[in-house]
Amino acid sequence: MVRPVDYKTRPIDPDFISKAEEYPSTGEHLGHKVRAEGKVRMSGEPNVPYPTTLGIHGTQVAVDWESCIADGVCMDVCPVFVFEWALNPGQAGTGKDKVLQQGSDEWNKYRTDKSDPVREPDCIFCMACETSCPTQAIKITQQ
Amino acid sequence: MVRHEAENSIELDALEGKIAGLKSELSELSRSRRQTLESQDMLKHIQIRAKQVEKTLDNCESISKYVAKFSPPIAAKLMSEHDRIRKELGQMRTLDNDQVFHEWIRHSFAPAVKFSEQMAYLVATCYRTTKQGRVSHYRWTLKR
Repeated sequence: MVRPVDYKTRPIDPDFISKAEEYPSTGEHLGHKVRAEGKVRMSGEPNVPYPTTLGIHGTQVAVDWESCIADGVCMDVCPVFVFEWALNPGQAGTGKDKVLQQGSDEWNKYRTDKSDPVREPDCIFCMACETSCPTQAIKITQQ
Repeated sequence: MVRHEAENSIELDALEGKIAGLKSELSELSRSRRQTLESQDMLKHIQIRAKQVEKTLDNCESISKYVAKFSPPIAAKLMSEHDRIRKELGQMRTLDNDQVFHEWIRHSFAPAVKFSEQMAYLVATCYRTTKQGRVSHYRWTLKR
């Protein structure tokens, strides 16, 4: 279920891998790369930045955490269980995300739970998640 | 017998090529859909989304043919599911409502696609394992 957020999302940049200046590698999380964490990026509203700076998680299976609004359909459709909720580890699927209380520290940092590609190497490139994501937060890139 | 196996192998390889081609087309459609979101063209966005679903169903049909080489009953089950979803898609198209369309994707389309892809993955992995004599997890190779 789509969680309401106080900003307008925009789709993940499909060419983020080749834009190292815009999306620098900023760390690792559960075995996958994170890019542009801590970097202010523009939201879907002209000249309005995203309120969060969470970055893009994963490379072959990349989820833009600014665009992810905890819908969960990526987890429902993935045949090989690549994704889990970042704030509710071990859980996957619609409605199993951690619901954040508005104004709490977690809400300030994340706004909603996020889909985390914790088993990125298991991806079989079926494209189902990229097709189903309502905000186009996911990009599959075969390397 | 040997000839039959060789023919089967050629057909399976051809189907794998077709499935991979459809997945590459899905990747291209995603790119077009991103552009519609960026430009806030919601009507075009829904149209491309429907096209993505249609292309995914084409992909699922090829998967049914692929699975049929190993298990006709499972393939028949897949085919009947895809027919049902294709009919529902026709109705969804007339609504022009992105939210309703997405909820339909979640409840009807996603479980069917997941089952199809799981069957395809099992068949492809078993096929590879038989051919190569060792367990070989399959993944689709997207065409560039």
